[in-house]
Amino acid sequence: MELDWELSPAVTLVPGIDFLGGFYNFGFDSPFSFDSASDPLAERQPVAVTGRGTAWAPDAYVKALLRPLKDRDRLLITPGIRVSSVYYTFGGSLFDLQAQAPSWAQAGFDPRIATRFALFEKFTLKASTGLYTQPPQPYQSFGFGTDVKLEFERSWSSSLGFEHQITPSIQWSLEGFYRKMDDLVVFNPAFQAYGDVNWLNSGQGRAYGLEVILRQAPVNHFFGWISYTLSRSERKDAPTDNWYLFDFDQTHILSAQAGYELPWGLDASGQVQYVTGNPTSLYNAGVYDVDSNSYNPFRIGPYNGDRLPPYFQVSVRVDKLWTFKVWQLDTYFELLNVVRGVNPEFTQYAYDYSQHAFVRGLPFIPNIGIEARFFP
Amino acid sequence: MIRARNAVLAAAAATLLAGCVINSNKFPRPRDLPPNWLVDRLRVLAVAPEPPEATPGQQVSFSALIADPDQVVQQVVWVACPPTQSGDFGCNPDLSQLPDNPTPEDLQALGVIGLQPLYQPVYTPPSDLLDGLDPIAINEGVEVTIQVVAMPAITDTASFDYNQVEAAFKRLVVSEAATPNHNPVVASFTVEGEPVSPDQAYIFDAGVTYHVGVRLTDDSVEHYRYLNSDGAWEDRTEEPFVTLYASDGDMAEQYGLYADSPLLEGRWTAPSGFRESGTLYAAVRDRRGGMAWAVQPYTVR
Repeated sequence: MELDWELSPAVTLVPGIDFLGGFYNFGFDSPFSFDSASDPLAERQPVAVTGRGTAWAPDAYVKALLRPLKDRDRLLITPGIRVSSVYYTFGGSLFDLQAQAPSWAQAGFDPRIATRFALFEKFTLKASTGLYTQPPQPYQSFGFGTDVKLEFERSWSSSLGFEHQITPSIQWSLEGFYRKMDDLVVFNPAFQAYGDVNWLNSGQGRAYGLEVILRQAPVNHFFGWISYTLSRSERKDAPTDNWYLFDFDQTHILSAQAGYELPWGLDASGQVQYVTGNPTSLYNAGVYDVDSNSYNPFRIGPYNGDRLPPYFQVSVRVDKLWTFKVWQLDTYFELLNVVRGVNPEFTQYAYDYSQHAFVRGLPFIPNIGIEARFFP
Repeated sequence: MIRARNAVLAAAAATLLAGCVINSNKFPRPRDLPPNWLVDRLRVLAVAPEPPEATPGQQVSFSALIADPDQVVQQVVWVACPPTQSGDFGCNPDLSQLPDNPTPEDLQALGVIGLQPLYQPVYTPPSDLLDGLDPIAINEGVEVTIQVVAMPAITDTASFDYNQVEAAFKRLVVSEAATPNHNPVVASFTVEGEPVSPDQAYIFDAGVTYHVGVRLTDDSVEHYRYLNSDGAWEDRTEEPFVTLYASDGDMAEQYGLYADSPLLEGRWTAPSGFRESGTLYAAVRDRRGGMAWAVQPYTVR
């Protein structure tokens, strides 16, 4: 829920509330007791636990839209603040077994500011900086035989860039960004068994890059845009660890879309996307654990030191539009993923990790569709 | 007009066909990966300590089921290490401590307990291994890691293909349990529930699916006492199960951890080739560290 409150032509306040909440209830059955689950020779001793309670996450924010200059559109300053919070109650046998308090509350405090300044008539500078906090995931908020009191993950994000109107229909923009993250939630490397702390706030991260966009507004039967993002995002699980790539780090993201209005009510459009493959860790062998009847993989290189093949997608579409007095009928023929089968989503290894293959995304899909729109 | 329409249709059809084939086989798919049951290379399939649960100071001997279809194995190295010196890959002996021409004593100091075919693997747990443990832990025991490495003869370390090395590890339980574990004993390999002789190749019909498995001796399934985490004694009975392997054909194992699952049998479809010969392997686990196996040669008609 958000309100617009115009105090004067130069000042507008925008307060708002976001709210997320609900109940949870789960059960977990294990054929092994928690403290011996990693031993393949452990005797079976069934364990069943339950958890139930509530989770509430009310956020409140307020931002001001300040236009201090006479020409109100020339300078816009947007300071704001957001208070995010999360509140859990715990019940069920999982929490009866441990010293976890019956409830837990945590809050984040995020000041932010952004600005746009029209340096010249067709040239606008833009900049922003601010804190962004995020509560731990629900499954990270439960202890495993012990208390868990995690802090919010934090990110300090900043950006600087400009927009330039080259012609009345063509605009381009360039923006650089930097994000410094801390208190990232990581799995406790010292965790061994039930009763040990399972999650820590010891992670750090950093992400930086730049984005350039060129847009052609719909003029003379043609529209289109092309964007390119160059970025790098890294993290480490403890201050003394080495940096490694985030699981979804993508060095290059190139997207383009264009359309052309043909005679006879026909529209042709196409879309191309190229994205660097996600980081992955490469294994090339394994040692056979005879008792568990499985192979323990040998990783070659650092964690996330390799990449999946790049994602490349091409789709084309032709539309035919019929317009009537109170409605329109759009029929279209599209070819999705024209270049088929080259987009591995993740790696699957053979039983002994000596070979691997890729699980793929959507295949080539030819599609015919009809869409009707009615005007009131 | 008709010519233009045909051209558009032809272009659309060409795009469709191109979409179907461009790069569709550029990367291997999961179905291209070899299944676990297929023995098409050197594999260590089972390791059996005798006995599988020893007391401190009791000598233990070892054997392994090593499938070697290409006959590459020249030596098998056995290493033992206590729990404090083992990891996800078994033992990690510091080979840099070895002199250029190591003696058996040098190897023994490093934890090497066998070097087949020269020395058969034998290990005696230290008599003080359980010292300092409470009575419950002494009954439960500790696990000594036994590493097995099967490899061709190394004549030149620079050109040696380490993909030809197969490494495995097994846990040896050392305890003073009141009812220590024993290895199960395979009475025979079975086809359609009937015992077959391991001394001659069993003849299967090509492409036909069979129930294959093992039959254990009557006293293989042991009854034992277990002290649970609540401190109460429970009388338990072993539930041994089989893992099946084959050099060809198609295996559909059926065992599971549920009581009503068939534990000692699976379904195997004989290869469709004419007069093929191969081997079926069955490895039995009693879930307490005991193992046994059976090997059955076959031909297909």
